[in-house]
Amino acid sequence: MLSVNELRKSYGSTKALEGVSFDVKPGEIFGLLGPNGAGKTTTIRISLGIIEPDSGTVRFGGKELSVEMKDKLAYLPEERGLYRKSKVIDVLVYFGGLRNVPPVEARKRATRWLQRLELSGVADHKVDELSKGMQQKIQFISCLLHEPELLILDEPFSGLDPVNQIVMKDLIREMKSNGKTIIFSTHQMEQAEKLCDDICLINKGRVVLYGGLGEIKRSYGSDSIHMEFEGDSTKLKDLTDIASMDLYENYAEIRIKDGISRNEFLRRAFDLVDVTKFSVEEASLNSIFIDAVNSDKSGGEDVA
Amino acid sequence: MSLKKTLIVARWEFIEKVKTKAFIISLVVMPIFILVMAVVPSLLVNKPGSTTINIGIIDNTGEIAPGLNAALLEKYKLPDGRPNYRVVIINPGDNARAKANKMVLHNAISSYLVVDSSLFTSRKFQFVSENVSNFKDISRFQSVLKDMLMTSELERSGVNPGIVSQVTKPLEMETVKLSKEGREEKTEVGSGLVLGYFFIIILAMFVVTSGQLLVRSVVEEKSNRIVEVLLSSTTADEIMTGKILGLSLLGLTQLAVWAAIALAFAGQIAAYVTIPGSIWWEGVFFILGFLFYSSIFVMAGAPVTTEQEAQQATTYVTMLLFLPIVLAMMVAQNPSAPYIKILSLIPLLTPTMMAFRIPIQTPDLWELVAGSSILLVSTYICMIAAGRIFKIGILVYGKRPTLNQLLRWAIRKG
Repeated sequence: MLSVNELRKSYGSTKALEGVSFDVKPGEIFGLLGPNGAGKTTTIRISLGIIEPDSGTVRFGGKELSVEMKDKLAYLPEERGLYRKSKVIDVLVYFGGLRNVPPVEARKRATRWLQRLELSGVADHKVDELSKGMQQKIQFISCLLHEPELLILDEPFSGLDPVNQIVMKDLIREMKSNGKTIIFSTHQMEQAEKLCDDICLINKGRVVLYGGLGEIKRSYGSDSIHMEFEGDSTKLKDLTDIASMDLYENYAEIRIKDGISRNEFLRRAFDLVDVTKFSVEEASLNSIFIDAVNSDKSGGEDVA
Repeated sequence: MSLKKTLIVARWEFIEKVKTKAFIISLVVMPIFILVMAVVPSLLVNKPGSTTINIGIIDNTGEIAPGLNAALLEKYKLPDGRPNYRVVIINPGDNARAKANKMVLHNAISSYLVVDSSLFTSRKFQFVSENVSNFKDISRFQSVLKDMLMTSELERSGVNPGIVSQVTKPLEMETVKLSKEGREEKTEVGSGLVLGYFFIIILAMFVVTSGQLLVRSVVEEKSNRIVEVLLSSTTADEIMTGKILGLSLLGLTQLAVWAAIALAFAGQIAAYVTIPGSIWWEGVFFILGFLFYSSIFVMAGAPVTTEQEAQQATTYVTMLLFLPIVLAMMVAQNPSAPYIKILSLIPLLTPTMMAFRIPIQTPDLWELVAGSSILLVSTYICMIAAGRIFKIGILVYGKRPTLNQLLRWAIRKG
């Protein structure tokens, strides 16, 4: 569907992308992951033809981005924005029009989507009269009016309350079952873990992890210690033989170094805090992410 | 470039701005403001008085006071036929002034004149009043006294009274403007100047209103990142062209409404100004000027991030538009001075200089052709440069780019 090859982009002396490549298969949910400033947004902007790369190529089904192709794409930018002083329905029809949906048809589809998301009442309201969550849903609708084949969603869950996060998640899965391809960019691993088929983890303008989510998780082994506890969490930092640790106030996910006895390690941990629950299982995407980013610290310049 | 998407952008910019309160208010408020500024003061000043004004005179010559009442009565009457002024003679003497001052302060007289015995040689008199800004009354007294002096001097030297009354009659002048085509048109003094001012102000308002709207809409789309959605569905060129098109349509709507209001007062305007035959050249410079300045607004506006910066950027452009007003007097005295001709060929000044000069004295054909050609080429170059700056500028946030950077963006292709 989308094939990105060796993208490079510099802003002055800052290197934003240093050779990013990946393929997005038709009909999948593809996670474009990475910490803030890794180059996710730059990659997306180049893919959409908003900016030009210094070198590298972007292909849609083997072809370059054409005017017709643009009408089959949808883009939800990370920083949300709609015309604040305009009416919801007018904004939707305008955005539809920019993707070549005739006004009458755009109005019909917009009305249907507003109904579906229980927003019919606000069609004639001005955008700035709506809550943030409503505005995000409106913006999501604006991405759907032209029935795109590829949706690029940059942090679609940020700023949504738990109820609306579920609405959003269901919509994304519905798009997938309708045969749409979705690129989903985020630094929140919990959502990515639940939704993505393939992931590409970018750090400092380079791909550090790429492949099927399942394979990647398997390659990290199924021997991560997930631990809930009470007591002073900082004491766990003193433990030796840790390969990587994702530590919270009452929760920790730990991978120990190879050749270290798990039982022996756990006994030492039990001496430090009051463990209420523990399990040994697959690493979470979150700890894989942290691990990959940390072990990548050696290379690359700082990226804006 | 897709015309369809350009038109969609243009339509959006037009419809959304037309509906705003600010625009509707500007439609009505501006003409009212102009009307109030231009018409009301002159109405008030020219309004004939409704009561007879008492004026005093301390006449040390003994020759002026007796005739003054008659002279004023002859020239100035109230609409209902009563005299406009009634002269109160105050006998000269040591305490005449003190007495007269008291009369003024008690409103028995509004003012008084003091004529010394040396009047015929010194040719000086005094006007005393609480209000010395009443130009109308003051100039009337001055002219009546001058006529009386002339009459009495001529009569004293033995000139026939018939001749005296003949030479003291006012002299009227008719001004005839000769057009480039050799047609003669009767016109008021300075009507070309007024029309010239009118054109620059309209052009400036047109450019500034549309320009500011343009910059503001770019800044809004930048600040809420709509611009990224726009760019993912259209091209920067389509967005820019659409915006310029939509907002100039908005400006034209504004002009049309104002023109309609002006037509309502057409009688008064036609009496005062003569529309020159070369008026269509105004249109040429108007349109080219608008496009030229729009491209400058795009260049100034695309790289800024905040409303405040936008304001600064547009201020400089606005100042350029008003430069001819500063030069107006020099232009009016000699519209074909070489340096005026040179200034008129500098693209930044061409639209306003030409708009100003055409009604005063239409420039030679070669000048019009040269000016519009240079402007056309500059507009074309600026539009391309603006397109390139726009494309990069709308994705730049934070620090404002330097002039040097802007230049590099403008030169770099694609």
